[in-house]
Amino acid sequence: MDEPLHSPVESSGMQPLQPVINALVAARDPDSAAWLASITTAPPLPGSPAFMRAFAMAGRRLRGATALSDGEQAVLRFLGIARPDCWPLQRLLRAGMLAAAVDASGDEAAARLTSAFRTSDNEERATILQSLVLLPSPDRFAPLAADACRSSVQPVFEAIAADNGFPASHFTDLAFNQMVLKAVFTGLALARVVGLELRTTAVLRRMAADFRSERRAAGRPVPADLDALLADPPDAPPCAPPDSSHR
Amino acid sequence: MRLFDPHIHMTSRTTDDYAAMRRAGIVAVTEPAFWLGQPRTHAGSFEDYFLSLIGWERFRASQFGIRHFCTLGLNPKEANTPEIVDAVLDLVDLYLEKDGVVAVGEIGYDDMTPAEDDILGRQVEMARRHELPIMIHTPHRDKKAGTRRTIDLLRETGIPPHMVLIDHNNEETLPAVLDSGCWAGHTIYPGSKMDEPRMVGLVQRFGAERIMVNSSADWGISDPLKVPKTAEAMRQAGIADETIETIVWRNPIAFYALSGRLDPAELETPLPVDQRLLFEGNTVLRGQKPAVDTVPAV
Repeated sequence: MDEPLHSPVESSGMQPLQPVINALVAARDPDSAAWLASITTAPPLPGSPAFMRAFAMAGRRLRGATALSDGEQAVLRFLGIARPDCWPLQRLLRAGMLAAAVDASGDEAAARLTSAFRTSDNEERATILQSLVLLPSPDRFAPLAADACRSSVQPVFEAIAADNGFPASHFTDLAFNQMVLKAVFTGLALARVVGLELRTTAVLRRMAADFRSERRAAGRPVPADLDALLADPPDAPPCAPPDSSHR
Repeated sequence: MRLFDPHIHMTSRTTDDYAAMRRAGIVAVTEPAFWLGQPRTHAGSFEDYFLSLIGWERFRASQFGIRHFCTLGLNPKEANTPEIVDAVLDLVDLYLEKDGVVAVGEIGYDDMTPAEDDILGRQVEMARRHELPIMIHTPHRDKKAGTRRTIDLLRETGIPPHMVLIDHNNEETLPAVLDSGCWAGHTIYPGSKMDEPRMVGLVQRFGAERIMVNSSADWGISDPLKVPKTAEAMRQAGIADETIETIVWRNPIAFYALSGRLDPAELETPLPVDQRLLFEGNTVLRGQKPAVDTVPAV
């Protein structure tokens, strides 16, 4: 890493994040780094018109920037990003903005971030959800994240459910179990649910077993992930052979 | 045979659908208030939605010879939006008294959160106050447990089971619903929930008493002709016409007539079509010759 840029939010508990993002951006586009620094110096509050404008503009920067190197990815993994290889540079830029803006919001951060989420497009929402693990005191954002699991927009759902350590660390059992079931329903591979093995409880297994039983009663194929979640092989064949006309 | 689709979201469908439904024999529908694919951010959005269900959509259906009824309620997904729920429930309370509203619904569980418990309980109480039947949505995920929990909650409230329709059943929830004394709906979907051959099997096993089928057609992949298609599948399987008619006509009428706002005798007469009529100055026509007393062609 190059010399990290100074960040005004360094002192408030998110020490490594801003300098890392600043350095990664500066190495690719000094103009974008200066733009980010100008925003994070006096960050507009999340959800405010100034924030939403800048948040949208960030998505148009760093197009065509060099992908993250293995070493850079290792640093981001250390900071809590499960799959930095899936992060476009614009998302990092936005995460830097978000972290500074949330930090400046104090006790209002959860309400303000919820407001920002509501007026965001799908990629902005995905960025907010993927960035939650990087924000100060992330526990307060659990209701926003659980609500995002209700989205019928699959990329938004996947931004919280897949390659994201936030649910395993901050979700209630109820929210986590519903998310896992929805992942199976929507065909999201459970291998992408971070921390699933640590959060698999008797209740989740019972829900998965009930779902498997429903699929069999309906004569429909049982998703392989359900069997894997239940960790023991099916003890009876499906009631009817899988039928390609039944999706 | 005349058909009644007891659960279909016509707001999301086209005039071609209305014409095709009428040609296939559907002469009455119930449209439950539901969610629109993404959460509403203001309570006021619900007011305009409710107004369209009791107004413009009823008119649109009538232009194709179809009687349109609706159920009003706050759906379980949006029960989890704390900023708007109280204001929306006030609106539900207000609009439940309108003509054409034949039940509270669709209400029930989605994630089975404490917020959903609260909103479901309050709306069951509202149904009791307005003396309306209740139309229950059962969850996609953890369905068996959700159905059991719904039945338990209804039992605790003391609502008579014959005032409740529990929808979206499958092989594993139907026995419990029939045991509870509630009516049992089945959604025939192209790729999930229930399909025609499985529905035939359920009717062969459980008969027609308190059983209904519906299309739940909406803005997603769905088919507004699933009620006629399922009736035909039952006929092909040798199920008696009287049994089929009970499921696709008499049962929906008997249930929604519990509201006192649907007259079974009136449903026996065809709805006269008059496309010369306007709704608040508006017409469904785009320059076509208005059809009068005939089923309009597409």
